[in-house]
Amino acid sequence: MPYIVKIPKDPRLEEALQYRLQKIGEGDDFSLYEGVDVVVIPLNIGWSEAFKLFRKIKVDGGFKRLPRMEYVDGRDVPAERPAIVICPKRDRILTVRLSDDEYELLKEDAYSENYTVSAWARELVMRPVWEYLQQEKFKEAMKKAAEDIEAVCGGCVYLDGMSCKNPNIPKQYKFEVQTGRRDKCEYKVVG
Amino acid sequence: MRIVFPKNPNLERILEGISYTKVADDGDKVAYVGIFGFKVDVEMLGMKKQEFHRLAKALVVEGGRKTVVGGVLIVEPKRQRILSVRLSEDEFMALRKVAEAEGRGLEDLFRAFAIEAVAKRRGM
Repeated sequence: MPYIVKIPKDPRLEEALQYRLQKIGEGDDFSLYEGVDVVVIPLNIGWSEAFKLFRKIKVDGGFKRLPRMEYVDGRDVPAERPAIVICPKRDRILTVRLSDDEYELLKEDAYSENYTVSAWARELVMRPVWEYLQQEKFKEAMKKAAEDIEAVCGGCVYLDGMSCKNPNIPKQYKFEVQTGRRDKCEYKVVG
Repeated sequence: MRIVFPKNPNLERILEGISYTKVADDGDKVAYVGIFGFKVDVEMLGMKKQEFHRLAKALVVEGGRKTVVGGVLIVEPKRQRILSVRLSEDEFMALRKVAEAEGRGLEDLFRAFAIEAVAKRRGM
């Protein structure tokens, strides 16, 4: 289940959020966003204002943080600018067996990045997992788009990376694949 | 994990490719130490099946175990450490989806991805 973030209507915050979370609704004085992964929202405001804003943000199915410190060159230093971190709730526990050497290797790497071992393992694993799923969604959308183009224009459609190539596509047809967010992969054939 | 086996240039090359280090060489047998488990088959070693089985039988694994399935030799380290990882429902479902697509277990996939990523980062 994705988490829902309710934020007060504030152009600075909305600007920072628009590429990181998906807007799902709005009221007179608030906006609702949805997300599945950890997001860091850098704010271009002072700390006292950031605290006020932070208190007004509500997260359902996740939690929020406003870290005072940041990790720079191997040590924790007071953060220069405020950044709000929103994380999903993690209720599932996966146990993984490792050899002593594997664990030590992971631990060394995690500590060098100022992470705990389990958080670093999750970070390392989830990156390729999300990428893989995004590619699969994209491939599926491309395949469907190719079928649609074939139905409209005839002939065979060649899938080539980010585009579909078909010498028979008349110039009046424009084909676009829209992707970017991992949970959104759309395409359209427009005349 | 320490592996001792009769000299075999092909297997030695494979082990050196996954960051194993030669620690002993007495003329007949060699010993290598390394972190990662591996899988080799008859074709990779360029051997006949009989030769392969002879090598697999002679190979000794300290701190791990070997399994021979048909023409495949699998060497895995002893795994006695338990790492608990907290995941959100979405992360868990995504991981499960990939594991199903790859035909692997959840734990196996997680471990493989994590160790591969660390090894890559460390240039191993």
